[in-house]
Amino acid sequence: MSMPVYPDRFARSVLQGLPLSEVRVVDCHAHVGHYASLHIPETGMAEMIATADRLGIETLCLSALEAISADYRRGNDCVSRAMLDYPGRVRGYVVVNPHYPEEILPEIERCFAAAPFIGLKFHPAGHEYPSDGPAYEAALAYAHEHGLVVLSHNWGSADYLDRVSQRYPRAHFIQAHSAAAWRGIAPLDYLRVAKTRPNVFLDLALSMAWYGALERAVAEAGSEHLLFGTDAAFLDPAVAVGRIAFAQVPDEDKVKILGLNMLGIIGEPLKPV
Amino acid sequence: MRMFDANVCLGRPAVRQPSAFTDAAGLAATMVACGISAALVYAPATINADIIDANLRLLAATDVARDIYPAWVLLPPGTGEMAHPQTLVDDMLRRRVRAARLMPRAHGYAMRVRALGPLLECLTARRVPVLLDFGLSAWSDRIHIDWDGVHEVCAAFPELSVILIRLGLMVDRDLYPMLDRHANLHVETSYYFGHRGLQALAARFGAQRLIFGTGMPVYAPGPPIASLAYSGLSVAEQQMVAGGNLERLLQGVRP
Repeated sequence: MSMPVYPDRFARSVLQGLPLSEVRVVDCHAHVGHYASLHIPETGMAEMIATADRLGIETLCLSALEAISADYRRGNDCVSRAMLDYPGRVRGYVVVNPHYPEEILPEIERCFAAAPFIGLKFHPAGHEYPSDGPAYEAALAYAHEHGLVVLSHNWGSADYLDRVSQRYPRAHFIQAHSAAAWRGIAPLDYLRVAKTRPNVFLDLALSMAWYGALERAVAEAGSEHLLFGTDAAFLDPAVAVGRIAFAQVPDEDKVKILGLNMLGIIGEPLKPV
Repeated sequence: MRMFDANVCLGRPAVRQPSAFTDAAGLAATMVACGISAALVYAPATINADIIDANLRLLAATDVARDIYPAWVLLPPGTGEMAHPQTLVDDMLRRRVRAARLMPRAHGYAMRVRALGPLLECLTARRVPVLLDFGLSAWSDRIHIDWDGVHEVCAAFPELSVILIRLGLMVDRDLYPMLDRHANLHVETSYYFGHRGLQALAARFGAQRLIFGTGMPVYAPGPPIASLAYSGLSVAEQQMVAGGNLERLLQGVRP
């Protein structure tokens, strides 16, 4: 096997400002809508799609910032509309709010009846609720029953993620921002879990991209459980594209991370409830 | 796009990232892999070791490399740890060091004219640009930015080019008014990652205010490269940000 030469085809596309080509790119972690804590120049769906076109991103899997920060129903409705406005380009996560436990299952069913959502989004930090709190159990059981994706801002601990992924083996668990604070120096427990559990995946969305950390993650755990995520529109999606494009890992690993892994999770159309 | 990276650390740091380069040959190879043409570097030992020695050793490291240029980390003159500002700046320029870096947070001083005035006067007189590094890592570190100090210095020395290093999310509500008031203030782009953030800054303040940097080898170079490449700026604007603005500032130095 010949040694890779850098910049490779992905990095060359970036350097020319061209969309990534001959690769399927699926963003597993994006958002739409406003967030009052910071100024984001563009947060609208049309601008998000325009940016995705510029980069070569085929599908955005997203939740609404409003659902995390304020009214989850209004936020979920916003995502429903985006899916209907951009069929195939946008797939949604239903945000559940653990402070309204009796509303969780009705909300999931309401949303899946309205649009082709792919799964659930938990945001324990935004909702100030424990990652392993009991209010999430009904949603997890639902995800298991229907084979849904569950993306959580934080699963609390790797041990909990290990246990819950075994308890609900038909659900797909994504740890968001999985390398956010990980410099690639000390061992990362989440990598161990992702390597051993077939239904556990690590989303690479983050603002801090430590030098060499992605390369080490691939070397330690392989690329099969790493997912391209952008955290747009907080962040410019180009940031995540650039991190992967310039990483010194083989082409086939980049292809899996950029889209194939997520397509494997969401590939089959989900039937509305 | 010819990229001139304004923010590179060159040497052997206490904490080394996986596969990070530690010498000029390694940096040069990384620059080739990333399409970067030139780099402005500082020594990691300046952060918490012997600054003067680290600055001098950086010269030896960069002497052998093409397109790798040293920036010296400086201290306020009050304690006399460095030479008198006039002598210091003369020495810098004699050694072809055309940029200074200030680290008020790491080195424990306030960004105030009362502490820095004599040094900034000398740097201004010779048009030496100042990279201002508040030791920002995550976006939540924005609390460590001394905006009042930046305002005071930029107002007192309007001919001094000040480049804020590694500004992240959540700075705009402080940054925009500062850029409005101070034409000598610039933004280094290694962590300025808001969606359409570069485009918005360039549209309002002009692309001449943006300076490309990566922060490697602490941070990965790909994100800031891609952020600029896909920014939607015109080719001419991208070239200004990628390297033209920094080259202009360095060429403006009065030896």
